[in-house]
Amino acid sequence: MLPAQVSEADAAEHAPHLYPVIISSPDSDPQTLSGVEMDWNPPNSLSCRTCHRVTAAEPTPPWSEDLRNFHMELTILHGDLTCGSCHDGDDHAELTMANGEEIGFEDSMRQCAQCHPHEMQSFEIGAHGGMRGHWDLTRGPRERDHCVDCHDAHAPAYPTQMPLFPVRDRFLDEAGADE
Amino acid sequence: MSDLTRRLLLKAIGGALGLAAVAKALAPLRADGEETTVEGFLRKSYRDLSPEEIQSLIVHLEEMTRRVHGVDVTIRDAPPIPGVEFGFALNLSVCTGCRACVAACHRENNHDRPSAESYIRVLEMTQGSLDLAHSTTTYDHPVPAPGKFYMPVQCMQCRNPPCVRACPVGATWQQADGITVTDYNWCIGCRYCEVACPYHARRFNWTTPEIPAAEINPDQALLANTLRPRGVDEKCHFCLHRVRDGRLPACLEACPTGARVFGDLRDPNSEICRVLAERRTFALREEAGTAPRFFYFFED
Repeated sequence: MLPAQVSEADAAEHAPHLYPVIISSPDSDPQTLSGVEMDWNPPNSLSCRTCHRVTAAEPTPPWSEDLRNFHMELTILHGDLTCGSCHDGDDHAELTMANGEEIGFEDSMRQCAQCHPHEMQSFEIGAHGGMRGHWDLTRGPRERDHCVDCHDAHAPAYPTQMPLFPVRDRFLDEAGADE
Repeated sequence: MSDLTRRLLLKAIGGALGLAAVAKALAPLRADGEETTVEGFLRKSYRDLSPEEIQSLIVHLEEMTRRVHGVDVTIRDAPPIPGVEFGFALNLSVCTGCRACVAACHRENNHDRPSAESYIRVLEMTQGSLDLAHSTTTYDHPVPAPGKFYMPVQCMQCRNPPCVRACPVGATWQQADGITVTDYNWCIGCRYCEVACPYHARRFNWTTPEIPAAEINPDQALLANTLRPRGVDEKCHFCLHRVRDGRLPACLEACPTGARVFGDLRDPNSEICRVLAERRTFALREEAGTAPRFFYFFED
């Protein structure tokens, strides 16, 4: 039985050591595949801030043909959002909350939660988002996926896919019903 | 020669002849490469084994795996963690029916490759209905399909398990953490458990499982994913070789959408308890009175 009064230091001493829950951190320097060959950047992948540090994004057309081609990889299918809904207009490597607070990419889940509070709450109770590791944090850590690991922030609809694994079912499969 | 020593001698000869006869009788079965040695035949049920006998069983099974499958595996005894009761929940609103869990179970638990066995069956259901009779498990088109939802079904680890009551030899029973296990060396293969289960969760080994040596999962525990012989029944054991080690089940780790929630029902701060408290969960075929430890829910 516990003594009637336990000091905080005592409680901390007797509390089991817990391993952390590590949420994967999204890329803090968002890039875009430009589709343009440049000698000084062979992979064709450019940090958004290369241009948008000095040039504010213009979300509405008309864009020039060159500009459209340059951004060909960037598809925005996220409700009615435009660049400035999430990105800081002055620096695209920063994010802006609805109240104007600037946050880094490591906090981007807070930004998702502004519009998707129910999904955020599901994440908190472990009912949404992949995880690996230990259920028992006294024995080992747990890794968790971030929203953007599955949902492209610019086009967040989860893709359809072919199911894995060729299932054979002796009872429910009509082909196997004769067994 | 005194009467006593003569009696002992006759006993010894009789015993040796008896064992030889048993071995001879078993010889045709051994051609299957199964565990039909004399030791195997005379073994006790797992529940009657002393710690020393468990160790010798482990040595025997490891040796047999080496002989039959040509693979070195590590088998351990994984008893329940005191004070823990496992529960599972599944978020039907985020499951996409991709069957990654089915594949993960297949690999983790050393299932027969030709029959593509797995402890998990994913039902493709029509939205707005829980009609299991009109579901299909062999869908083969991009998922999630419009108008459909997907319901993975596996052992519910019932509090009142019909399979346990149906077993005539006590080869399947519920352990302290709620996991119902099967003693593969005690099962007689009558399949009564399979008939008793309202979830169709039990699986029968019609043949000796065939698995390429390189694909055998060497991380094994008794009553879990050791290589089964032909003619025994088995089912999902919540990956007891992992979860009694504090790790998450293989199906959960494989789930890309995080539809699966696993944890300790007796820890009020666990994720499983929060899901049960904060979501409208339901049990499959509640009317069967099985009191599952596996729950489903939709997001509001």
